[in-house]
Amino acid sequence: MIQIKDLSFKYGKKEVLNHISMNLDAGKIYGLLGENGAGKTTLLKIIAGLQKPYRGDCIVCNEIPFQRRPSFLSRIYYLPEEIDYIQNDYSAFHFADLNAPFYPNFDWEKFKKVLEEFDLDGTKKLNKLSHGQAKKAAISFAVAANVELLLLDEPSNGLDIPSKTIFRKIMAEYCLESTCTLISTHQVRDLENLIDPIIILDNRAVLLNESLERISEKLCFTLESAIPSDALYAEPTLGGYLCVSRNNNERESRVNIEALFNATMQHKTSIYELFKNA
Amino acid sequence: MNNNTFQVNRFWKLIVRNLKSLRKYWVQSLLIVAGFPLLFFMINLSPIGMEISLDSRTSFLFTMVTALVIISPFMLFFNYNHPKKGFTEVMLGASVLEKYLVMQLACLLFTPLVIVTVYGGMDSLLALLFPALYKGHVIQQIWQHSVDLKQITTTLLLQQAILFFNLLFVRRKVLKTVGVFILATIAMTTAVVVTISLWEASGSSAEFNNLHFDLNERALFAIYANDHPIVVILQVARIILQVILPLAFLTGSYFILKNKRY
Repeated sequence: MIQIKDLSFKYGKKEVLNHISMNLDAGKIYGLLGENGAGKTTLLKIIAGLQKPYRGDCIVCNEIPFQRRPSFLSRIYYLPEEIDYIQNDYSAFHFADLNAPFYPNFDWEKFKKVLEEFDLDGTKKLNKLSHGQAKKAAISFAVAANVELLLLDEPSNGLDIPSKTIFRKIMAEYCLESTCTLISTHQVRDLENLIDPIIILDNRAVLLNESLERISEKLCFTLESAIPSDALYAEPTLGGYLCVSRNNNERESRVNIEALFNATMQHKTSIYELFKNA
Repeated sequence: MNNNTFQVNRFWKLIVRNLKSLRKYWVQSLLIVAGFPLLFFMINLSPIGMEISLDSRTSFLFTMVTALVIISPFMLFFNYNHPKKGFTEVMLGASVLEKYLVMQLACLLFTPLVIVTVYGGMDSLLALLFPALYKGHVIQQIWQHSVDLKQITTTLLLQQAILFFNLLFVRRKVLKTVGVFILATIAMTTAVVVTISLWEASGSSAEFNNLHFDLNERALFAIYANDHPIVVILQVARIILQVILPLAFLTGSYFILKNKRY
């Protein structure tokens, strides 16, 4: 679905992405994690065709995104973090009426159902809605578009706690099985049980691009009373320490994405090497 | 043509979308346009003894159409290149050519057509209902009103310049566009003054004063071997202003649309 090879990007002289390579497949919900300024939004924009790489290749659905051909644009949907574009003087239904004709697989029934799930009135003017409510309308449209590639930048930002749960349910229930979804987020807890595989991005490299299964094969997430000597990362928690260590004994453990992210940030090279050499 | 370059069905969908998305704007603007004949009627009706003649109403229509056509890119597509508000347009599944043509169509065809129809319609309605107070029909009169090529090319130049700068500038675009226009006027005035000064300084002022040249009589591309250098300069300036610059703005706008990063 997405092939990125040796991709670099600069804002002026500031290099944001440097020789990034990765492949993303259809039918998966990828979680894109990274520190502030790691280039997550920039990467999404490059994939969506809103930015042009400085160097390297980015092929999406067998097309070059920046060419912004109709055949490409009608197969992808990019939901940015800030949704000023939707907050206009018309309703969610009117927004869909304007834009749905450009998405050949747009499903009106699904759109109405998702709005209902979010308890959102599709006839209310979007500029009269709160930021969170407008975001729900934007998410509803994105899901109903039934595109091959769905790019979501911080989709859970601005959503209240019940809506975050509904969002996870909607993504799991309504996204097509063939859709490749890439979700950039800082709120990993909001998306736990949803995103798999996990991509951890750094300006210099894709530190990790692995499924949860593979991560749990290589790393062990345990609750210990004291920090073990071989722990890659440990953080105090109720009842002891949450530790991330190499899974040398093929122990089964549930991946804690936040701990994984912190461990990766602290031991970039060793985590990168651990999965690269596997 | 390639399916990704131009498709009639997609182009039509884009036109419909454009009209629908600007529905409220169109309605508001047209109510204002339709209000002018009513205002003129009220003036004719009032006891102040003033009458807005058919010629005045027709001239007003031409001035309004010219002004609105010139500024229509700002009115219709102000947020098109906004980094946050404008990307629905850029992400829409249509080609750059289709989006560009819809823009041109809205500014060059829809805007004047709709203004003339609404203003003319209201004018005719008043003329039919109150023939004694409101004489003649603007719609009939406009066909007798002569519009020369120079007026059209000047309007086109300014409109295309505004479309170009509307796409080029992201923030404070009105201020920057006005600034560019002021600078261009200063540059052109300076060029004219310097040319005349140099000409006079070279001792050719008498020759210059005796020079008779009517721009309206001369075809745009007509430059002859025996033409006076001043005439050649004027003709070249005309070609630049009436042909090269509008073409540069036309193509420039397209390439900005095509290569704009968000």
